[in-house]
Order: sequence, then C-alpha cells, then structure tokens
Amino acid sequence: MIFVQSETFNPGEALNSFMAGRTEEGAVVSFTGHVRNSGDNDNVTALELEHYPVYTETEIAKIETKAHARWIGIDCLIIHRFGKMFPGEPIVFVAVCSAHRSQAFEAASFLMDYLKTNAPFWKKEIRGDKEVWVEPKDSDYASRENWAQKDWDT
Amino acid sequence: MTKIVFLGKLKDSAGTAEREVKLPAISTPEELIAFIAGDNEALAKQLSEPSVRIIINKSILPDRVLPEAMDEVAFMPPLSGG
Repeated sequence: MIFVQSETFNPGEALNSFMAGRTEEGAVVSFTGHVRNSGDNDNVTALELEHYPVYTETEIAKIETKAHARWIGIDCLIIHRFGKMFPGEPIVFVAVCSAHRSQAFEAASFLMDYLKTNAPFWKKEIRGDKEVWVEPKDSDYASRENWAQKDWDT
Repeated sequence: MTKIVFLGKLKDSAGTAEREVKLPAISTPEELIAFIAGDNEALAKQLSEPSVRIIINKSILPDRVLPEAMDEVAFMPPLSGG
C-alpha cells in the first residue's frame, strides 16, 4: 500500500493498523524519517517537498514491485508526504512484514534506499526568509548501488 | 494546447511552475527545449543538462523520439526526496 499525502500521520497508528488482524507474519520492521532542523545547512525552519502527481505514485509503485519480486511473501506500507513540514514531523514511513525477520529488515532497508534516490520528490530547505533546493547526495546513490551489486535485477 | 511543467528548481529559472503552450511541429528534445526556453538562456542551459529528464504524458521519454501527441511535458531535475 502506498500513500502520498500532504497531511501528517502518526507512525505508531500506521504500524498498528498495518498489522491488525495478521496471523501469518511473525516479523514487522518499520522506519520513520523525520524532518531535522539541520540538513545541508543549519537552522532549517521548514522543509517543502514537491511531487509530481500520478508520476510520483507510479514510480513509488515500481519500487514496491521490485521489493516484492526480491522478497517473496512480504507486504509493504509506504507513506510519503509532500508540501510544507516542520522539524520533528514525520516525512516518510516504511513498514514491511513477513513470516521471518531477515526479509522484513532487508526489504525495509531496500525500500528506503530506493525511495531516497528513485522517488520523484524535490526538497527545498527553508531557513528563515531563505529557500534553498536540496541537491541529491552521492551517499544516497551509493546506498542504492549496494543493492544492485548483489547480482539482482534492479 | 500542451501543459509544460517545470519541477523542482527548474521553476525558478522558468519563473513559473507550469504554463500552456501551442507546440509547433517538432521532433527532437533539442527543438522542444529551444521552443520552451525561447530567449531565456539560463533556462535553456538548465533544461539541456543531461541530468534533466523529460517526462511526456506522465511517462519518462524512453528514447530521443518525441511522440506526436503531447498533452503534458514535464522537465525533471535530479530527485532529492526521502
């Protein structure tokens, strides 16, 4: 399941509702990314994330499909916000459940590494009255390439 | 009419997030960029960067051939999400 939304969310509630009623999954791993007050620069007062409706959802669905192809039997929940958000607020959430823990850990990490590099969002840091577009980071691409080097079709 | 969308930092150079244009007969990305940028040299330079991808009708342009029907054209700079 994928939700691209401007509203904030409660990660605990998202996790609980994702797992409600499940009896076959013995493991769930979740990750929540929060807005920090220091990104590429200090004194970040807000972030503004732009998305491209339909295209952004389609590309995230491709990432989820890759994960399903690689770890059979997992289920995923992905929430990604767009719009203006403030330090301390959740920005992205990933949960993966599976029968056993190793798949859940790996797939959650995989999803985040691909979301960072392949999900169509553009981030702007707001510092007081200044606004600065954030450039992609080589370290994020390196994290994604680690998966590609494991001889999988990514 | 075709909707032109400037994503991320490209909208700063374009001076707008989107606009409607009537495209002339064009067949290559270079012609498309030249028409869209007009006399805005800074925008032409940015749109021509290899890292800027062209999305047509919500799908990435797979090769350098433009489709005949272009309802929406978006210029996409490198991503910075998550």
